[in-house]
Amino acid sequence: MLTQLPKRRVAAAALAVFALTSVFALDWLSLGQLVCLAFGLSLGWLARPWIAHNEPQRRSSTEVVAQDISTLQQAFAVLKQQVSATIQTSETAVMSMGQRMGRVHENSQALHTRLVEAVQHSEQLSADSLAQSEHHASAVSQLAEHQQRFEEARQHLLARVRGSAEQVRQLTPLATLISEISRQTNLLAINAAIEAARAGPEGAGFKVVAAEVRRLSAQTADAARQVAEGIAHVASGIDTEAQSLQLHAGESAAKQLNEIAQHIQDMSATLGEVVPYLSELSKEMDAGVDRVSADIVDTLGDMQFQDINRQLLEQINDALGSLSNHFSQLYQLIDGQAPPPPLLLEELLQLWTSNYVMHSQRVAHVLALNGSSSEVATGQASAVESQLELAGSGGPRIELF
Amino acid sequence: MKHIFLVDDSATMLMSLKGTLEISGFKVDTATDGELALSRLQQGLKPDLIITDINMPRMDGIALIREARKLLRFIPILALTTESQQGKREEAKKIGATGWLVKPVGGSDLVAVIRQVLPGA
Repeated sequence: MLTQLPKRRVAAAALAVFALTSVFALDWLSLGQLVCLAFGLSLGWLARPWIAHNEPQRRSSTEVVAQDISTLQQAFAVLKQQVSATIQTSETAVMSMGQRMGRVHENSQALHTRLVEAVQHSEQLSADSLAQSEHHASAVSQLAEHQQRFEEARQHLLARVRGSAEQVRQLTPLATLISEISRQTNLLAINAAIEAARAGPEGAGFKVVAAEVRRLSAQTADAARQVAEGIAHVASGIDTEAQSLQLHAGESAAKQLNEIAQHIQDMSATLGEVVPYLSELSKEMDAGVDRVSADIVDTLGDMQFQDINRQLLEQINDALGSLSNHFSQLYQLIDGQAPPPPLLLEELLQLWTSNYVMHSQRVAHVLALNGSSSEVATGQASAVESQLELAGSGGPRIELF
Repeated sequence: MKHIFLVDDSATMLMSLKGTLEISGFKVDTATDGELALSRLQQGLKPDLIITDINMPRMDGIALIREARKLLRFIPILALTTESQQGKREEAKKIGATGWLVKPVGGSDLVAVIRQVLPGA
């Protein structure tokens, strides 16, 4: 049936849609807004005669089909543009993800290489420290052994020195005894000389003997003094020797301790290298991990393209569904089994725009419609620009209110 | 650790955002539509920030922002959406959204915005 006029249907549908959307938009909140709604509906009702007067003559089925077929190229252009936008979104996102994954791989490799170097360096430091520790242990062990041997030798020498000193001290009474004997001998010699003088010439020989005895006594006394001095000299020598032994023992221990102190300083220097090395390594690792994390975060952000493509494809799917339904109705119209579709294909194309949520969809639609025109009319560029302006950018991508 | 509540009907978006935010040191909860999100808030969930999609089944992001604002007056709420209609952006602003982000938003950019609306995060 071709008796129904599409524009009348459109007007009725528009009124119904206006009424319904107004009701939902108002959210039953405002009485004033409800009054406005009633006023709008009343105006629509009163305008019916004007709408009927201005309706064009009804179209024949041939005209409807012809017009829709002529619009078909635009419909496919819109769908093609939308599919191209989807493909471009995918390509851009996948390329970006690929590049980021490449950077993640490079950063991971760099971190791995740095870690291997760090492990090798740490192993070397560990081996050095171990060797130094073993050296210290050996030095300390040698020092202890040396000290043990020295102590034994010192004790042995000390005993010997003490024995010698005792022996020397035992000689001192002998010198005193010799001195006493000398003194007694001298007294006897004096008495003998006195007695020889009293005996007169008969005692002359005895006088000579007494003189010899006195001289011998003096020599004995001198020998006793020399013995005492000798004993004192030997005792002094023994003391000097004992002090010398003790002094050398201290020098040896000090030398060993100095060596150990030097080794400990070397070990401290090695450990001193480790701390800044580990600190630098830690900073490098942190920076590397930060770079990897940043790339992973941005790659995860790129995955949002899937949601965008899903919405693009859902819209394309809906459009294809409506297109299929439209042409099914046209087929029935040609067969004379059904009235013309409620909307012309051109109107259906316009209806698709109501499902668009993305700026890119609206731009693709405008570009497809204008790009699919067979001839480019003068001034069309400015018309496209004005339509693109109507599509609007939707504001900045990130806006804080 | 700041707590962020993500609302989106896309599993991919939730995975992407959750991963991004957890790597960046945030605690994350998720819901797959406005109605479920509102239910969680009514049960006492008190996030430091809500990030919601706009075009969702059952309850859209605009309605969620409106209802969430009644429960949590002062927390920031960001809309993260493919929706480019200026009218919806204005409506979100009017009912108390803190910001409007158009997908896709790079991970670094998203974290920077979050740190801007969540001082100390």
